[in-house]
Order: sequence, then C-alpha cells, then structure tokens
Amino acid sequence: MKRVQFEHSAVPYLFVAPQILIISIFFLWPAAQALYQSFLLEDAFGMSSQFVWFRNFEDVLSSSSWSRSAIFTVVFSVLVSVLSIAISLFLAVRADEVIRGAKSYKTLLMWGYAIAPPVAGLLGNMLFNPLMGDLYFAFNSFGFEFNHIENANDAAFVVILIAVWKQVSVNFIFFLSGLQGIPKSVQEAATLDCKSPERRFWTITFPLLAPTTFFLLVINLTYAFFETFGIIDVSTKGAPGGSTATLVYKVYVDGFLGADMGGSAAQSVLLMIMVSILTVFQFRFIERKVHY
Amino acid sequence: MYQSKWRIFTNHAILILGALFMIMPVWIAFSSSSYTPEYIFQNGLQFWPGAHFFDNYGAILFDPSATKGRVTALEMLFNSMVLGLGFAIGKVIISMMAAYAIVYFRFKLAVPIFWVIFSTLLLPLEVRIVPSYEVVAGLGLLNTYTGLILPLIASATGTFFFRQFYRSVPDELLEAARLDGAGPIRFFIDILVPLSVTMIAAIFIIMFVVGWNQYLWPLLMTTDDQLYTIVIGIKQVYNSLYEGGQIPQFPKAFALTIMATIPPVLVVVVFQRMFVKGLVETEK
Amino acid sequence: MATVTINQAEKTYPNGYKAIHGINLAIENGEFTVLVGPSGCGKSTLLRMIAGLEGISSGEISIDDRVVNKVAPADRDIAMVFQNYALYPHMNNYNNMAYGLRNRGYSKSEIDNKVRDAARILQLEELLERKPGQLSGGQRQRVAMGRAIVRQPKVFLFDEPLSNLDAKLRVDMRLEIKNLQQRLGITSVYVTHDQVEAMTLADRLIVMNGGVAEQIGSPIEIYEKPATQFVAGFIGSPAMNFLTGTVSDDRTHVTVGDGVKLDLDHDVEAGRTVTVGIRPEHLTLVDAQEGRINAEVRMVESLGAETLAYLDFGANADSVTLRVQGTHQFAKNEKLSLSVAADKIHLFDAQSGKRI
Repeated sequence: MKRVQFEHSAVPYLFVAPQILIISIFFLWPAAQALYQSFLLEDAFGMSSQFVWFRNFEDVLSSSSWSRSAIFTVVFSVLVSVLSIAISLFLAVRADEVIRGAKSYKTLLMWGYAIAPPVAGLLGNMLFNPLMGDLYFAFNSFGFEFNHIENANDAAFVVILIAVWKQVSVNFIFFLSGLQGIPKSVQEAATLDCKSPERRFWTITFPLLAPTTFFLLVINLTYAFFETFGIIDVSTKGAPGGSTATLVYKVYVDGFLGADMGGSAAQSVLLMIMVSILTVFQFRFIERKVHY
Repeated sequence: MYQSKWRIFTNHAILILGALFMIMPVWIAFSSSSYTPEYIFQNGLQFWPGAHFFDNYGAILFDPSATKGRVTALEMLFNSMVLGLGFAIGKVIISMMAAYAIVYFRFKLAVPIFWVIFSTLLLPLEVRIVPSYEVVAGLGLLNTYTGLILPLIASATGTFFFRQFYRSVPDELLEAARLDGAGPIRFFIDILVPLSVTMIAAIFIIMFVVGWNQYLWPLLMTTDDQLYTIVIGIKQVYNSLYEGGQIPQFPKAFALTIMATIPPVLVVVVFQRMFVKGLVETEK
Repeated sequence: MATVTINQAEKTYPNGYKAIHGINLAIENGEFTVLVGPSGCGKSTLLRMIAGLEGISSGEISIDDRVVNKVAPADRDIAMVFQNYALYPHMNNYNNMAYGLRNRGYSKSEIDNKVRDAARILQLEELLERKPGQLSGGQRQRVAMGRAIVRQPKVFLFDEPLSNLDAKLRVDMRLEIKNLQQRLGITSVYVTHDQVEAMTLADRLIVMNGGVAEQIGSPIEIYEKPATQFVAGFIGSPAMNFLTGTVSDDRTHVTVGDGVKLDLDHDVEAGRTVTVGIRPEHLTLVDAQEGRINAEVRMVESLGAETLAYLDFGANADSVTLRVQGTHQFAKNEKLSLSVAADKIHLFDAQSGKRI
C-alpha cells in the first residue's frame, strides 16, 4: 500500500460508489438469489415453490448427466489447456529466435485473440460440415470413419480442436513476452555452456518460464470452463446426447431451455465453488510470486 | 547469437505453418463467402475468392431478409459498437475511480469494500446467468443497452488492473502534489489520470474487444432483433441455415462471420503494441 | 524566512516501531541544517514529519512559532526536493514548476514571472518546454529545485537530493545548492547519508542514530569534539581509529595495545578503561622508540594528494589507519613508528561511548 494516503471522510466513498452499486445490483443480488433458489423446488408451472434444503444438490450430484458433464468438463479443460499451451510455447520459442520477419510472425500469430468464441465455433462447424467440410472429407479419406454428429469422441475432438485454435494466440502473446523478458546475457551464457538448443530449452528457458506457464495454466482452465460456451453453442450444441456439454453449457440448457430453476441454480452454486477454489489458488500463486 | 542454418530454416518453416494454422479457417470462410449458395452447396468450400463478394456483403449489410431477421448487418455492427464502446468506457471509468479510492485512501470500510470487489473475480457472469437474467428482467432492462452493458461491467478485472498500476506509481508523486497544494480530487484529475493515459488506452482496447465478443449475455438479454449484436447475428443465421427446405445460405453466414471478425482484429493489429503491453503487464 | 522548532518530537508507527525518540531542535532563520546518519536512523522520517507527510506521535513541530502538527502539508509553506525528483512525468518542465502556484491561485502573469525567474537562476530557460523524461539527471534535479524555489517558501526540505547523480555532478550540484541557499537565504533542512555533503553544506549538523540526535553542532565542532564514539566514527574519512586503553595511575598517559603509552591531558580518573580515538590524519611518523606505536604496513592506498596506510601493531595485531599528505612509497611489511599529540586524543567511555 501507499506510504501516504489521503484521509478524507466522503471522497473515497464517492469514488467507489458506482462500482459498489453495480456490483450490488448485478452481482451480489443475483448471486444471493442463485444460492436461495438452489434450496427451492418449483412446481412445473413456476407458480409455487417450496424449501427443500439440499434436495437440488443431491439430485444434481446423483444425476448421471451432471457427472458425465463434469467429467467431460475436466477432461476437456485439461486437454485444451495443455495442448494450446504446448503449441503456443513451441511457436513462441521459434518466434523469439527468428530475426527476419519477427514482427510479421508476431502479428500473424497474435491476431486470433480478437476472434469471438462463436466465430471460432462457426469456422469449425464449417470445416467439419458433412456437406462440404474440408477437414471432414480429409479425415474420412484417410479412412478414420470420422463422424462427429453421432460419435461422442469425434465430437469432443472437434470442440477441443476449435477451443485450442482460439486460445493459441493469447498464450503465444504471454510466452513471447516472457521469453523476451529473459535477459539476452543469460541466453548467451547458456549457448556457451550447452550446444543443443533442445537441451538449452529444457534446462534454462523452460524453468525461467515456469511462472508464466503456471499463470497461463490457470487462465486457460478458466477459459475452458467458461468462455468456450460460444464455441459449443455454435458447433456441437452439446451433441451427441449431451456428451460435449460443459457444466456452464448445462446450466444454460437446464435453466433456460429446460426451465429447471432449482436444479440450474444448484449447478450454478456448485460451479461457483469450483471457480472460487481455482481463483484463490491463482491469487495465492500470484502473491507468492511477488516475493521472488 | 549464433544459430545453425538448419535451426533458422526450421524456425521459419514452423512459424509459417503456425501462421497458416491460424489464418486458413478465416481465409476459407472469406473466399467461400464470395460465391452463390448454390455453388458452395454443389462444390464445397472454396480456396480462392469468387465473383459474388459485393452481392453477398451488400445483401447482408443492407437487406434484413438476408440475415433472417428484421435487422441488417449494418445495424448489428452498430449494436456491437455500442456494446464494445459502452463496456470499455464504463469499465475504465468505474474501475479507475474504485481503484483510486482503494489505493490512495485510508477509510473505514476499505477492507470490506475490497473484499466485495474481489469476490466478483470468483464468480464470472456465466455461473449466475439465470438469476442475473431475472434481476435484469425485474428491473425492466431486457432489450435495453443499459441491461446489456451494466451487468457485464460488474466484474472487477479492470479495478485490479488499475490497482496494480497505481501501486507502481511512485509515492513521492503524491507527496509532491500534496506539497503543491493538490487535494484528492485535483490529484486524481491533474496527475493520476494523465499519468495513466497509456494504461487507460491499453485497457480500453482489451475491453473493447472483450465487449464486442460477448456472446452468452447478449444471447439471453436480447429477445428483440433490434438489439442483436453481430456476434449474436451469427448464431441467428447459423440456426436458420437448414430451415424451410431452401439451399443453405452458407456464403451469407460466412460473410457475417467475416464482418464480425474484422473490427476487433483491426483494433488488435493496429494497436498491437499497446494491446500487448496492457495484456501482459496488467494480467500478471 | 522562518524558524523551525522541534520540541520533544516522537514518531511511533502503528506496529509499535519507534522511529524517532524525542528530538529537540531549534533551526534559525536562514540556517542550513543537515540531518546526517546511516540508513534507518530516522533522518528522513524527521524531515517528512516537518513536511507533514508523516504524522507526529507526540511533541510539537512549529514553523515561525506556529505549531504545525495538524496543518496540511500544502499549508505549511514549505517546499521539498525528493530523492527521485518526483517530477510529474506528463507535464512539461514549465508546468511542473507552475503547478503548485496554480493550485494556490496565483495569476497567470505572476506564475509566468516566477517560473521564468527560477528558470533563469537555474539555467533552465531552454528546457522549459521539454518534459522531464527528455532531461538528464542533473537537469531533472534542477527542475525539482526550480519547483521548490518558485514558491518562495518559508522552508526548503531536501531528501537526499543528490544521491541519484554521478560523482562529478554531485559535487557541482552541491556547490550550486549551497550557493543558491545563501543567495536566497531560505531556511533549509537537508537529509543525507553522505558525510562529505553534510560537512560542506551545513551551517549546523545533526548526527542521528537509531532515532536519536547524537550530536548537534557546527561541522567543525562535530569534527573536533565528537560527543559520542558513534559520531566520531561516522564523521571523518577515513574513519577514526579506536583502541581500547587503560588510564595510568598518575593519569598522565593511557596504555593501548601491548604497552604503548600515549600522553594525555584529559581530566580522567586513574585505572579507568576507555576507548581511545585517534583520527588517521593526527598520527605522525616519528623515529622508532620504546612505547611508541611501532607498526607494520599491511596495505597502502595512494590517492595522489594523500596516502593511506593500513597498519598492524603489537601482539594483539591492533590495527590503525594512517593518513599522510602527498605521496609516500610505503613498502608492504615496512616498519613504521607513530605518535600522536596529547590534544588530538579523544577519550570515550568504554561502555556508554560518551565523550570524556
């Protein structure tokens, strides 16, 4: 904190007022409502409701569709994070080394940050369209019998590929700036000590990038949890049979399309708990990093 | 630094492949958007641009029936612009002010207020969409720009960006300003805001892109076509691709996709330096 | 012009740490006072208390007989030059200097006159349109000085203003600050850890240690009659030699090392154990003789104008530093004999470190 601060009775409250007001109305209130609703059971017409304690949570946790979605979400998030981090790290290391055209490569690889998830979903949908999709034809011409409309694994592959494609740019930006933050003299000293570029990477560069990698892992997991909603909604829509629906997508489907308010609210609360753990973890890490 | 010939060659080969991996889907969508639906339906996606570029984009931009609704892509672009700008401006102003109070003042409720703001980071909008929808509906804000933008601003990411930045401003600047007779509001307006210009610009760019690309919230909020953003329009066109036994209007869907992508990509590429700086320095 | 009176000022931080222990000080009109001491001694804290940037836990600080404990920094009529300059990076140099005047409601033409005057005095006229980022360290320092003098405050406060400059510039700016202060005659308080700066600038010097003013006096007083062993060791370069000694029964001399007898003219009781302080420049080379400091050269530093020799003597290998004018070709392990005049010997209590 600052060594010297203003001591003023009204001014700080005036300055935080807009934010607190918006947070109260559009965040605290809905969050409290989600919590409240998760303990209620509404009748089919939404006319009356009764307090049912943890029934909704029990129902959610014991339902096979929720646990399947939870498992898919975890597998999906881990695969998307690891794959996009690996690809972008590989590209960033090379982009950091080139001298000719370095700027152009950087631009060509980072612009993807600006692509909206549903746009990515639509592009993926286009390339895997059974009527005309180039990738659909390509996979089948190699004899994979690829069919993401009916096969759950193939559908998962499509969603993961799109999600990875969309996320490579962000990771690339962070890795490249992380690499450029490593002093040139350290890299040069390593060149004198170690001939093989691969070995140099694993013994010097990668350990120095560890904080960036860890940070990106958290960012990517959060991305895979939440921001992939648009990708799924415009590509597979959770098909076939809910096998590619992440937990967030399921909250939407059950709450809005299925109108199961209590169940959807209970799912929201469970999600909130999961995200809170992830975020606290992230902040712990960031606080610790300060002391390096 | 010394590099072997082979290493230089593979570096370029890998980067070119990476760039193609990023660009190809968009390029194919762009090329295919310049054909007639019949041609695409019969011949599949196209690698080289065709002759119907102006027909398709013109129809999308100005003819409501081409987007399967009552609005043209031009109106959708306008809505997206309002959302992107409103979100970015609102977020920058509100978070600058809140961060200023948190960093530069000693006041009674500072700690609880900090935790309330912090808690919004734990719970993104996506996990509380149903109750948020009900609150906004209850306030009569469905299908309004206010209802579209304000709930998105509730998250505190911007506040943390600015908090981080203010903490890196040397303490002596505040001390010098106080000796120069500047009070809290004057210090904010005369010193801190001008000092933050680069940071404001960087965060503004990031927030504009984030706002432009919003999907889930506008999807729930806007039942009225008049408020559709271009990103929502994509979904709309996509949903009606196979309707009514017509030939699927793929080229128009692609054209809409390209139009949704160009503005944020331009912003990111043109302001690349500022954008990268903002992203990397604030998120850490 | 003003006086600054500090009466039993104390500073205790919320965590219980006591940075300043009851300091008393009366700074006269136009006086240049320097606070000097090692880092963490509380000198900056005291300066910031005068400025109003730190609160006062107990006691009083007055400027011109007005108690300012509760007065806002901007209303104390003081100006401060910071170590890192603290210039507003987004304003050009003109506006940096004018900002405080504008906040005080001066008219445009008054501001212009004052800024141009200050700029002329500091030779900044060519640089007014530039921003601080485009200036060298010395120029920035000058703008910071300009910002202080345009207001013609009652008191100037300097917080280690030269420590970010390189050695040559530091000397130039030191002279410039002294010159300017004498010309303007404004009461000044200056904080530094550099004893050369302290000695050359000060009308009056306050040596601080652990939140306490160890000694207050003119630079020469402090050099000649250091009140404590700490002050004696801190002021003077190279530092004073300290040896443990015992006063003889007839009180005419003190014995140090293994039987070296040094003449005394102090009034001190017989048999007392004391710390003997001798400045390196007060040791003189003499012929070898019983009872003198017969030492061996361990290391030599030739600085041209003077030569420093680091010597060991006696069975316990006590070490002393010798400083002689001009160049001397001392060989390593060369045997030298040293003596010191009785009136150049400082005695300190072995326990309390107080001057005897």
